[in-house]
Amino acid sequence: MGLFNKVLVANRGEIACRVIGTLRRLGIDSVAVYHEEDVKAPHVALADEAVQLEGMVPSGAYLDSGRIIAAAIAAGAAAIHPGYGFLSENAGFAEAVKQAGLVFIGPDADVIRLMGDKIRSRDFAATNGVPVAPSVTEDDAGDAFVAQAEAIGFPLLIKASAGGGGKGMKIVRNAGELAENIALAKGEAGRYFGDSRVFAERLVERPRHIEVQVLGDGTGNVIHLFERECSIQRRYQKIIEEAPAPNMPPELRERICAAAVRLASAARYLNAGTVEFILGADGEFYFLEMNTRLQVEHPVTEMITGFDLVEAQLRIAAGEGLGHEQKHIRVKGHAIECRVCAEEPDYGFRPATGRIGFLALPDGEGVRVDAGIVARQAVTPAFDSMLAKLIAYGADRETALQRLGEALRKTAIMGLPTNLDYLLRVIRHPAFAAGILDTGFLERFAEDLAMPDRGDPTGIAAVFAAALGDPTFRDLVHRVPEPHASIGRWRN
Amino acid sequence: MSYEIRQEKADFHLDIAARRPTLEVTIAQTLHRVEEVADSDGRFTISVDGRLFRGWRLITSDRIEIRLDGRSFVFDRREGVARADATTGTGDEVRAEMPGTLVTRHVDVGTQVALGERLVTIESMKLQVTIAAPRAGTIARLHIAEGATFERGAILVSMAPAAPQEG
Amino acid sequence: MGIIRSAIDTGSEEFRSRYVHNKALVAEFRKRQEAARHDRPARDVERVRRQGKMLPRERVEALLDPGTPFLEFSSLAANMAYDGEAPGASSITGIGIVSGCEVVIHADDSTIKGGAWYPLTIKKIVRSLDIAIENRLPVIHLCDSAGGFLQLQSELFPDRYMAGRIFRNQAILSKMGVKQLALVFGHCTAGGAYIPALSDYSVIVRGTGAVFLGGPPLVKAATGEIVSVEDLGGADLHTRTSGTCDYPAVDEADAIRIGREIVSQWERPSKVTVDYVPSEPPLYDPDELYGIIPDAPKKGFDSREVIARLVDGSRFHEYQPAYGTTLICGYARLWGYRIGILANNGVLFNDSALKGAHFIELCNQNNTPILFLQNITGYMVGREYEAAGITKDGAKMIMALSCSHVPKFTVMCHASFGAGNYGMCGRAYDGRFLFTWPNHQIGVMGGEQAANTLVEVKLRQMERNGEVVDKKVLDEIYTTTLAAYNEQISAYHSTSELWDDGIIDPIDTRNALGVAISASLNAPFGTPGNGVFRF
Repeated sequence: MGLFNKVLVANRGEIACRVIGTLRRLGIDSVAVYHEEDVKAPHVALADEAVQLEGMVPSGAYLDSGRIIAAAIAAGAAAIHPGYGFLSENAGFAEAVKQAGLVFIGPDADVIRLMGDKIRSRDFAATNGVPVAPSVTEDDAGDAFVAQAEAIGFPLLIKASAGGGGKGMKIVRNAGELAENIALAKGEAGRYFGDSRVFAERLVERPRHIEVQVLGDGTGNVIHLFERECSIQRRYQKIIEEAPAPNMPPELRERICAAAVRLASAARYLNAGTVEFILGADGEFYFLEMNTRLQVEHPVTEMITGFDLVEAQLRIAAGEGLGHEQKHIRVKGHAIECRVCAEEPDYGFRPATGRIGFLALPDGEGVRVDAGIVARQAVTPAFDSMLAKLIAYGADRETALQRLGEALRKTAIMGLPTNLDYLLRVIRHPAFAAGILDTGFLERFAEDLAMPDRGDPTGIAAVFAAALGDPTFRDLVHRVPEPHASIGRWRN
Repeated sequence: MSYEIRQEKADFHLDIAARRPTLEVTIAQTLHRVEEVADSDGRFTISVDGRLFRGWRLITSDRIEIRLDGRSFVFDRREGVARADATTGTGDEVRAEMPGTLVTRHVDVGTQVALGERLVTIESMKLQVTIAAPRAGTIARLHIAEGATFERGAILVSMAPAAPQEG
Repeated sequence: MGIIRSAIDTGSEEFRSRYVHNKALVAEFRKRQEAARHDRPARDVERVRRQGKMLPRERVEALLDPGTPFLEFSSLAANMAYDGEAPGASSITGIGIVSGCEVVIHADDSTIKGGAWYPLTIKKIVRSLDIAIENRLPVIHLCDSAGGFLQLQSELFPDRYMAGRIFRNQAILSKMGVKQLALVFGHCTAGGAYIPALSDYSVIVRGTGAVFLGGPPLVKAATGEIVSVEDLGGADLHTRTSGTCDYPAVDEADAIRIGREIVSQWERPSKVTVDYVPSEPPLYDPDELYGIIPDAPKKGFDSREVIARLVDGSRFHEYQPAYGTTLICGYARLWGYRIGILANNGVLFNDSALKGAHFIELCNQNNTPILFLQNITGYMVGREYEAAGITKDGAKMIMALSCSHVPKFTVMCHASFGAGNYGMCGRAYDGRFLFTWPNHQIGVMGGEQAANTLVEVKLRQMERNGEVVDKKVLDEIYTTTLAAYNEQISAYHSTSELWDDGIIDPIDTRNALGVAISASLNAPFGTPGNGVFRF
């Protein structure tokens, strides 16, 4: 059997555009779906066909599995690509697609369900020899709690079972302090939550977010496409990702990738997925979760491996298998991605809306732009605030970084606030350049990353650029007749 | 006369010192030499103190956005921004300019209103007109009931006296 | 055009001593000007501040486009009148750029006697409006005046060129289509109330601006009615009820903003097109004028040296360089405009008078504005010259320049005595602008001449009466006459009486003329034509 003749893309924005791009390259007809608000959106224009999803709130439209499946059938599509977000990790949808006689481009519903359950997936990982952060609860351990907690190793975090927000939370660095801190934590937990039960878990200091891209054929054959570093996060969301992870010892890389493959293989994982880990400064790593879909940051993996992950997804879904052997997959160069979002980093990253009045996207050697925006487009609160991804590739990290900086400088998205300035400040930070990353990076360097003084030459030039663009100022400059303009200020 | 432009919370005062042979402008007591080199399709090139700056500029009715050297700058066009306006008056009484009937009250006693917010709708000469608040303030009294008629010059709404402002 | 070759030796003792002399004269002028502009009783300034008002000069500065010139007229008007009580004749007038538009500005000065109009205030305002009429320049009135200075009412009220002329000129301006804007910052009382009323546009500041024919005290006296300033003629009354003013303003800055916006709506005038090229500065430094102007009225100088320090590139096309050489005539450019220049280089003889009359005709034929640089002690007198027709030759100059249809400008450079003042476009000849250098003297004759003449008259009178001629009495007559006369012929007296549009520092001449020439081109040139020349 060959590839599909026609595929429906159940998504919008940059990822829909990106999927449609691969479909087009492979000669597969694409069907876009859209809400009325998106009628002028680029994914609609890009697709061979487009089906409007009626009568829903904008984000609801892309979640309306019934209508989307009906649209696929009506259009004669053989498969549905869910992109990321929306229905991509909805097991019910995957099932419904299958039941409708279509192919869901992604894993089986069972695996989606398994990995979607925090506790089950953690147990599954532990069972299959994938490290999980050690912890012990007072409920389970009873009188042995202190001893079992000590057995986890230090540093330890004692947390209230019932609470959050740091109340009743204690960091313990050695056995001598353990009993006393457990008592303190219990006391606080009792006072704040009326429930003094606590639990202990290994504290991962300076945690890095490392994830591994895997591809599985559903029979237990799994290959990995190496790891990605996604530690630069604000409000628990990634904004800068790169591959390979900087300052990663080869032996550690091998172990993490092997763990990811082990997990996916045990799950008889089908299609593309990502296994996320938390990596401590001590080199210990623990399973976090598995994302059963294409990731936002997949381009960095594509750029260092030469894979087209969407093509790989299509081929696997079409039954063509993995088509690659692990030993032939090599990392070449370095890639960094940043997410351009409509938000105000200098005001607590609050989301922003508006209309894109002017758009200039960069190009150049090693620069890839995955964007789903056009000039004049309205950015509303109805959807995710991500506007585009800028990805830069280079033979080494320094080159990639330099190209990404150049790409950011060459990007203009005007008419609404974006994090473009902020992204540039981050990637130019010395600690970032040194590749010393962890998930606390943005908070730790908040002061360095704040809006710089605007009285510098560039800030003054901006004032003049604005003034010279203002007809009021232009009139003031240019309407003065001669010889008065030449005489200038003069009093007799 | 100096030109004012506002960037977020900072005001810039630009004083033109000379136009020939090049434009010279003072900002915060520093004199700058400015030259507009090129301007097309949102792309500008200017020279400031002998250094070239190339960036993008978006001009809308209320804002000017500049993207330069990987940084974004947003300016208010102050002329477009509402300012204290003497035509709206400082008086406490809103009077009818012609006889008519009060159709709708949009506010109650005690309502805080902004400048220009609608107070009442009146009908006169077969035309309904909405009366707007002449200034920001609090409604002290509504003099005419809905459906009631009034004469020219009648007080329609009284606003609580404004607190004295610091000069 | 060739560059004037200067013969000035800037290293010479003569140059240095003249330089020091003239610098001192200019320093004295600047000192007097500074005092006239800024010396005010502290309580008057405080009162203005207390009322939240700007000082008159601050208003003018706020109104003008930044980085543009302001040509102020008659900054020392009334400096020798009213015991110095009305510096600058209690007003500021001049030409400046507002919203890109050339305008005449007239501002009352309420820091002097509440801005009351003295007779010379009225002369100064009327002159500014005459300038507006002659040059078709829009006018912006910055009103803040208590009205006429009652103690001198007979000198400011009844005659043709007194207060009523202000309003007559306003009406004529409007009829000509020349715009006027009044910004009412303070009171416009009595006749002054007509200024905003006769302006095409008017703005009034709430709280401090007021317009009324009779102020509250007069109303109370006349009818017994007790009424506040605000209710009688405040911003709300005039912009909501009476319609006397057009725009209310929250404060003075707001009034100026509104005013500038109004001016920016005005059509740009289509000016007379004259020959114009981008300008270049003079080759010779105008600062050298100080070393050229002589240190005594009797000493002469080569006026080409002055021309060389005024005109573009110091280039001058001299007409009839070999004929009538006591009058230099020729073409040059000033701030890019081509002008014709007549400059005295000695006493006017028959040939120089004929040359001057002919050159005025040439400039008219060529649509070229004319600049007169006066340094004249008169036409040559004596039998030989009368016989040769010096009077009718002088009359030819007067005929030619009186009937001239191109704009004329006069700079009083050193001396202006006798009929030469007429032939060289004195004040009576409707030049568009006339400026005076601080060293200048003007009169029917020179001081010594006048004193000697009067002593001569007295001597004959005494002889007729058979009185013993007392040498001491005659000496006394000579001394007092000379002193009084010298005061009268000084530039300060001249400018006090508004016989000119102001004293200017010689190095400001180029800029003043640039603004003046540009202003003059707003009015179409008249129709060519002459009366009967006596040949």
